[in-house]
Amino acid sequence: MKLTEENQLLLSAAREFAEREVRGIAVDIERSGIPQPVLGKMAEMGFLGATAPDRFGGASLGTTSYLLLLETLARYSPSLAFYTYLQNTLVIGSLIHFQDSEAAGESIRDVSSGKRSGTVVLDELVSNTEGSNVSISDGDRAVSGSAGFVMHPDASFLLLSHADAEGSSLFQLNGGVKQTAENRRLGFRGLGFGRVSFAASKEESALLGRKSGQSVISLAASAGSMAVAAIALGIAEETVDRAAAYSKTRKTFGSRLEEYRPVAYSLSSMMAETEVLREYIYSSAGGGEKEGLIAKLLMTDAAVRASKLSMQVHGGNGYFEEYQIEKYYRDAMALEALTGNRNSDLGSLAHQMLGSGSASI
Amino acid sequence: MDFELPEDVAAVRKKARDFALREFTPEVASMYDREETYPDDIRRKAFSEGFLDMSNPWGMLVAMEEFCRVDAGLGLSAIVPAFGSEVVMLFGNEEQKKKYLDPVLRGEKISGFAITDSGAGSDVAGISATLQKNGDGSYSLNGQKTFITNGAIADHFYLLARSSPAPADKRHRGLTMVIVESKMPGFTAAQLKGKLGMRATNTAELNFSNVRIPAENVIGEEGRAFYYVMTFFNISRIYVAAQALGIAQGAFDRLRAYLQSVKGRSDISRWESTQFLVAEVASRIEAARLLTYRAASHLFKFNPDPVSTSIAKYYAAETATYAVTRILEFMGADGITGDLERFYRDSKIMEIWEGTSEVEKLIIARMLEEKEEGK
Ligand SMILES: Cc1cc2nc3c(=O)[nH]c(=O)nc-3n(C[C@H](O)[C@H](O)[C@H](O)COP(=O)(O)OP(=O)(O)OC[C@H]3O[C@@H](n4cnc5c(N)ncnc54)[C@H](O)[C@@H]3O)c2cc1C
Repeated sequence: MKLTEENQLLLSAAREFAEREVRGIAVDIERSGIPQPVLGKMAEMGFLGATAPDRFGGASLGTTSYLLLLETLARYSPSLAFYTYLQNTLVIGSLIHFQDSEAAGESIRDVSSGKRSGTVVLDELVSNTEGSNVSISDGDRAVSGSAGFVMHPDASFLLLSHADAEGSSLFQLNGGVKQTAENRRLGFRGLGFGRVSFAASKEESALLGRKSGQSVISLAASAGSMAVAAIALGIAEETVDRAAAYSKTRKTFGSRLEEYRPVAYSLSSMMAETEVLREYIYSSAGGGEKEGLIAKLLMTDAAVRASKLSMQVHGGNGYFEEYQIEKYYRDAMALEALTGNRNSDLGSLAHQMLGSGSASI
Repeated sequence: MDFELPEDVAAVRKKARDFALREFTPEVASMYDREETYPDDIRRKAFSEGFLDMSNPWGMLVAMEEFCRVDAGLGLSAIVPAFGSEVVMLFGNEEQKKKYLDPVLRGEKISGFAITDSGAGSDVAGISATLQKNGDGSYSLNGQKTFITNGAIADHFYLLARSSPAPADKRHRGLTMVIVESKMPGFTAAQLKGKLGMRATNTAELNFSNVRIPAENVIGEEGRAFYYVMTFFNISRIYVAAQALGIAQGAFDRLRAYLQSVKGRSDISRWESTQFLVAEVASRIEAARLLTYRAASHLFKFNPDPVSTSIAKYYAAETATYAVTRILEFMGADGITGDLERFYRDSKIMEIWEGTSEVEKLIIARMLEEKEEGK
């Protein structure tokens, strides 16, 4: 894989930022959220509008640079990487479909500058069964309803899609949203995760646009499969690296862990798998739905196994917060659950390969 | 070969299930998990209903399984107050049993079993706590222990320390087990917070600075305790297998309930891929159960078989993480917002404590070889 100069610059900026601003507070982020000043600096660096075009104040990074950013952040703080994914892939990725609308353009600008943050209703993406429950009273465009899966529910605005016979509309709610319950948080504890209800008046809601077919939120999510893979990649690399370092210092029965073949083989096999996937992710960065699905399915699975292996190598220490392995272990599992639905991804990949008559029984 | 549990054991199983469903509600389980505190009221209730009955090992085993099926953190907490007791039962003298074991079995006191320190877990003989003999026959205990279950709540510990240096090729010699009371001068305990799972159980770091241990608190013979520890693990691992089995079964229960609950809204429960998931997880759980009960059957007939025990512990632990992971992957966001997220966190410890999976595999291979050589 060859990095361009832009990629190199981004990578070193991201690393430097993470070392300076994130490493020391990674555990605090899990306990008390992402500090506002860190988000401010992220915005200054262009990370919150990484994928947005420059006319909206974005950094208009290419896909590879964006993936490098997520991979790097995930190594330090998967919560921060998820936040970045949420703002870029899901929020800006949805808004950009209606960039000609003034309201959407303004929102992209605000997210990029860090002035406001957005979030989306995830229900249609992540649940096997639940759709969110939205009703629109047509005359005055007031939006009301509820949703079960919203990450970062205290965002400045919430995007939701509403399907009807002709297609799907994207609404932005700037008020009238309230968290009704906190969901349990297996992973990404630096962000809130809750159920919300909303009752937004005409003034608080904006219809950004409508189009036929799939909702723009789900289009944004499926276009963002590689981004999910990049976060999983960062988790896998970091946990394998930490386990390798630990295996060089921890001794049992008079020998270093790295000296035991089962330890060394499982670490080297996991490293091999991760490296192959990394190559795939970056060489297919510009690919389509199929490549994205392949990367996401394989990489999220690898991240779950890598974090598990790392915990095993760390023994009892891995089970405690202090070593941070337990955080990656939770985040790896939560990543797949909160960025889509494995069952529908498996179906889509089968359809890509075998056609739409496949995988139906 | 009879695959039915005897009636009295089946009755304990049913009683344990009812107790767990009544006491370990999702709200209570979430609360202790969140607060990371030990459920002393649940310990008392479980005791008063007779679940801590060391004279009925099959009963304890199925109770452990049924408890962990509903919630592992609370389930273990209900039975763990007697942790380590087998070591006094087998190797302690009458006075020790009377003074330390009996109050635990009466539900008045809590014990702990302290082997691991910050430098050595798997490598039991590598521990660094020391016992030095004083002029009056007593000992001075110095050093530390970590990850000790019940560490900050136990009244006393069965604790391993080095009482004499060992020859390099016989490192298991020179280890002694003593009973240490938490109120002895020089003893301190500090709860370790921030565990991934099993957060209702209490885990602590212990420190000893010239703790005076009377000679009568030495269990068995000085210098022979490595053997006691291994004997203990051959018992306790079967209970860990039961914990793991309970977690796997509990995850499976939740999958089945989920598939029922979505029937009206989705046909996902009829997908063949879903049926395969059900079949694959069910098969593994059944295999883990048979292995666990077989190992228990050897043990409870006073004919323990370390190979069966380690196979059961290794396989059941792996089944727990396998079942929870597969089911969570399938249920996705619907799963991580429910009990299963806690099951995911709890299950991982099964592959670590009381012998990591790697240690179990070493035991299995080495013991099989010894059997072959007719040792
Ligand atoms: C919540 C909790 C509660 C606990 N409760 C207690 C308790 O009550 N009392 C107590 O004494 N201890 C307790 N422990 C400690 C537990 O038993 C140890 O963590 C466990 O035995 C592993 O030891 P370790 O953590 O030192 O890992 P290590 O021994 O350092 O092992 C690290 C990794 O290396 C692997 N490894 C080590 N040697 C080899 C080898 N030769 N070949 C291949 N792989 C190898 C291990 O399998 C593991 O994966 C508890 C731990 C936890 C987390």
